[in-house]
Amino acid sequence: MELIKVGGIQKEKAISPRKTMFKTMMKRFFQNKLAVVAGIFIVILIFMALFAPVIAPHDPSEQDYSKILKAPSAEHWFGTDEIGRDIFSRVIFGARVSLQAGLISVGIALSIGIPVGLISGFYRGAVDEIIMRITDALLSFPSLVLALALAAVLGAGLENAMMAIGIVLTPNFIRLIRAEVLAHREREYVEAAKASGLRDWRVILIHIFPNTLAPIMVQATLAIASAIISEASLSYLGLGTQPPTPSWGAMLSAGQGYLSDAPWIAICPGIFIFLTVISINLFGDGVRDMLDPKLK
Amino acid sequence: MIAAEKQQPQENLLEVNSLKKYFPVGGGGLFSKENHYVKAVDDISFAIKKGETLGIVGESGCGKSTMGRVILHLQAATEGEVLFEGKEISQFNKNELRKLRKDIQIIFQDPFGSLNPRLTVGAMLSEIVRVHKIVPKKDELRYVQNLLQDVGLNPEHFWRYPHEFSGGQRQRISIARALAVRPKLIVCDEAVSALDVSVQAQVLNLLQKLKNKYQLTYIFISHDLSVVKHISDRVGVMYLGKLVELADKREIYKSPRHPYTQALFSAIPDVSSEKKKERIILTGDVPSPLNIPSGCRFHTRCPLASDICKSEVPEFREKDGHRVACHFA
Repeated sequence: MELIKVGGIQKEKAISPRKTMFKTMMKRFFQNKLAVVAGIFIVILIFMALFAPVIAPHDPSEQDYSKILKAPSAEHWFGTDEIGRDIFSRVIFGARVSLQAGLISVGIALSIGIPVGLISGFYRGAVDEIIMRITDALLSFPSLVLALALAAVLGAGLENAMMAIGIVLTPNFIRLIRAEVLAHREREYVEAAKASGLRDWRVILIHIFPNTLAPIMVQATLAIASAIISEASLSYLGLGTQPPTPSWGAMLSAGQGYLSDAPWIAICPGIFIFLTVISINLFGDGVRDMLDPKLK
Repeated sequence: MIAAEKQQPQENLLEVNSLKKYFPVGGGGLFSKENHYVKAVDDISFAIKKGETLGIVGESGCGKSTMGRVILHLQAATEGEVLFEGKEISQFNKNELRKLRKDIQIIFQDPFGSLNPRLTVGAMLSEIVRVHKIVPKKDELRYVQNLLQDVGLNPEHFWRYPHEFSGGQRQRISIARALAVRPKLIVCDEAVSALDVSVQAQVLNLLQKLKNKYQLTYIFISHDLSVVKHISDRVGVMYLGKLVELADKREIYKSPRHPYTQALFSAIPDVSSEKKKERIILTGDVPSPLNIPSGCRFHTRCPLASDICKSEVPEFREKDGHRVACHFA
């Protein structure tokens, strides 16, 4: 048959273009300087969290009543808090809790939200109705109240707080993903994929899902930020991390009482929350652009 | 190999019998029990033989595209039957339907909307080839690259993304996608309408070439009379969800019998003939498919309309292979 005519030359080419595809993706990412810087910062944070005991100059829960509310100095880079603990060490150890709280709770929300949203948007009908009413019910609660209730039912502690935050974040993702699926399922390329006789899961995963990634990515990075804050609120109310384990959120709320006398207590973890959130955001943008074949 | 299969002109590849597709519209709601329907396709019957090209023309919104989609079972028919090779497709289960997708393909109008922006051309085509097990895995690349050459693209285009192509090239990719499964019937839904005239001609010639090479049968849906004239063997004219005339191309272009067809064809600019053609100008707009006129649905705009047209739906009668739905034809 005439199919075999093209010959062996293309066969070798088959490997190289795929490599170049990966290369252009990396190139696209590294062109975005902000995303690269953000990525480096995130790597440092993760490193900090992993090796906290090695890096931290002091024990994060060691109290020194001779050095209460000391301003930043050579010995205590970020100063000390109301019971004389070293803020710098606490920020480093706090990265463990806060990164976990941010990433894991958003991970939970995504792993429920993506499949449920995809199914809801693709199949519509009764399934969609039921899922939507449940998400509406969840969304009708103020998110903190819901998280509080869930955390209270599940019991205090970081794991349960992350679970509660994850569940609270989920309806937003379901709604967002469903809306994106609705926007794409009527496109001709989806219809064409169906007309090509592809199974539903292929249409959903290969043809619809990649096209919904951009807003999901943005929403996820923003959600990490709000998860870190929510963990702080829960900790503040005694349902998240238990003292003396430091978390940025808990430090932030503990520091608010001393905002005029010792602003560093709140400002230092605040800056880290801010930088983490903005880095994750910029990094997410970079990844999104990297995955978009339309950008060179 | 394929050419060895002798063409059998008598065999009906596809048969459409009293096909209806109604879309329910709002109405229902809280306050009204009444259901309104848009009768997009309303009682259409025709048959298409193997190797034939059937052109379907009509104004925007007359239901031609819906008809195409119902034939592919992308949308379920409200009533009526579609027989492909003698088998009723609405009875198919999911697996049989997937097999049907190998036999009937569609080419969409919009060359920009019909390709997934995230997939390379090669990934998209290979996926289809793999899913339907058209060729063994090791021949996949060669098969797809051959396909690309068949539609006038380069083998290197395998690794490109859709946005790197022009409209005409994209439409060639869509054609390659339709061809990838080696179908028997392709529904071309306004396949060239979005293209420049010069590119239109190229794509039409490509379709013609592929038809001969792969023994294809086309249903060619378009609002462009000259395009349909160029490619079709037979032509059907649709008005408000109904087929009003269906005949051999030469016959219908030479002596259209339905007043709507006459008006439509009188609008084709003709530079070759000496005598000036009489232009039949229809008054009024196409009535809403929500509120279809009684009797003959063309009577509101028909120059020949009389009382019988308002009350009685004209039959779709056949005379010497020329079918017309008009009381006066």
